[in-house]
Amino acid sequence: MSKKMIVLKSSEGVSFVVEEAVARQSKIISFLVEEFPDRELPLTNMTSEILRKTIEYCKKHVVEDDGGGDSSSSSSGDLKEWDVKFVAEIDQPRLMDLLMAANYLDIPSLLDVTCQKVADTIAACNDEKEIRATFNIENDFTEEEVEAIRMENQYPI
Amino acid sequence: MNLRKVWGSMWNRSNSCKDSTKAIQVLPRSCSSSISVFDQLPMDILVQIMMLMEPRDAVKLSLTCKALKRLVGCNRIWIFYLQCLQESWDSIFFAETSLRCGYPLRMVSSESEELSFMRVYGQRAQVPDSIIIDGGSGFCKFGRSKNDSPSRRVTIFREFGRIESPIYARLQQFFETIFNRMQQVKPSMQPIVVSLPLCHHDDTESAKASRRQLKTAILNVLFDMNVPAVCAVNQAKLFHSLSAFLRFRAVFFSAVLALYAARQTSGIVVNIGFQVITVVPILHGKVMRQMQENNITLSLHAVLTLKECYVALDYEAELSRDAQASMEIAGTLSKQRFFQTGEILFQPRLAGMRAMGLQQAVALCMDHCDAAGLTGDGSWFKTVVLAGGSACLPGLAERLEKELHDYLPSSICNGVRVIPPPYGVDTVWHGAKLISNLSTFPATCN
Repeated sequence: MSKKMIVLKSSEGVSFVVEEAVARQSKIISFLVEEFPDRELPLTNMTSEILRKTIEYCKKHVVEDDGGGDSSSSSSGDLKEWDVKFVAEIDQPRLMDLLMAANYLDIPSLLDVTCQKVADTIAACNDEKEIRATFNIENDFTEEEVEAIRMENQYPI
Repeated sequence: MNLRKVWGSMWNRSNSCKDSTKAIQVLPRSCSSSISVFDQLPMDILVQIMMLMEPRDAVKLSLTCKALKRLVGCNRIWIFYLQCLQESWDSIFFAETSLRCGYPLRMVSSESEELSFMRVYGQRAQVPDSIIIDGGSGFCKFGRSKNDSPSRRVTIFREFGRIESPIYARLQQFFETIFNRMQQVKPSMQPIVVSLPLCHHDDTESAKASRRQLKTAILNVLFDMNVPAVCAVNQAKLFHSLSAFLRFRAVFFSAVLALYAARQTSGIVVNIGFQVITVVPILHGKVMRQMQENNITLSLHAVLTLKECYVALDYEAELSRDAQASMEIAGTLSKQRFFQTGEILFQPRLAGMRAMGLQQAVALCMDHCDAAGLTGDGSWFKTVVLAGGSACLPGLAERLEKELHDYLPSSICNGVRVIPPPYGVDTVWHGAKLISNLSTFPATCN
């Protein structure tokens, strides 16, 4: 029996043909597939690049029903390692887009992985200036205000 | 199925438009005048990200811009961080909402400025590690406020005799011994919280004078061990004003601390200590001496009998054994003897004594409190908290509650509950820990 395929369309109008089991990791797509079978699903707030990344993640994480020696069924340790590499390769703006996509498509595990990466990125910054630079945040504080917050929240090591 | 509906309608709408770019546009992808990428994230996601960070990193993020400061400052996140600490969140919440303003106690009302848990977290982190000394009548428990439990216990009665007598040399020896046994402690550097054994508990002038003398003596001793400038202590003044001079030092009544450990600010504390049983009514953290039941001293002998059992055991089990251990050994006694010993609390007659049983003493105290009619609903005294080493007898709380319900008139007994010592023999110490780790400590004690 051939696997059922569905078509996802990015904001640029590029169509991606995906196995249903892969796409169903998104709770939203899962719902839409049931509600509107045999239809192309336009995901207009996702670029092709992000959609491709999302599909790549879903393909890796799909749980194989037939349990055959498929390459996609990996041990949880391998999978974690793969996740780390997966988010490490993504640059900052795209990471945010991927996080938004995970949230939008409702893929909890991808959301967890991307949130962790954002948290780690913030933690890796030495000070607020570095965070501002990394995430492109505009500073609207005065020096005094920053100092006041810093004073109130000094934690001894 | 609201989600279904929304999606359905959106889907229909998008299909009716030929232009596919107008399809599912739930989240605008990029804003023209965005302050940060974080603005695009839903609150839930931001919270999720922050929960994956250390509080320290969250503070860093809050320094970046005003919008993020507002987001990071949300209580939900800081309550989560506080819950991750080793201390129980319920205790932290109780302390920060009920005790942080110091005396007189008042709840943080909803109308007043909302409590910021980010600030509370920051302040708690900066609170110094204090030395807590619970000078119970039998055992003294001491340790550091940042630790989970007292580091050591000493048997006061053996090593120091009656420390409640205000003899300078004896108190000095007592405190010096404790400081020597604690490692890496500088008496001149660290705040000290001392809990006094409840003695001289009458409302008479002579008892008041004794209490004053003891407090003054303790403060003088601690004061002398500490080199930094300290103002002269006016001995004629009461304790509250004394502590104002001695910053970083607080003396609390053990009963009040036991009540706090049980996360209550009002109630009756029944302290069954080494030599005394005390029944102490406390309203909003203040000991109500005029309502205290003093006749309980009659059953003091009964307790001594009960305690003899422990003392003898403790003697065999060596001086260094802690109270916990002696309790365990007591448990291995013939069950009957153990059982009978506890029963003396309720029926002093069993030991051939003409004295008031524990339930009668507590009931009488409740009667006084009820007659005084101090609060509108008149239920502040209905929570009974047990404290003191001997109050850890298994089943004591249940038994006392049952006895009280049988003994009290129905008008009073409704709602009466008895709470066993929340932290066993270390209950008072933990009450002191609650105060020492308050975000407003040690200012609270001034």
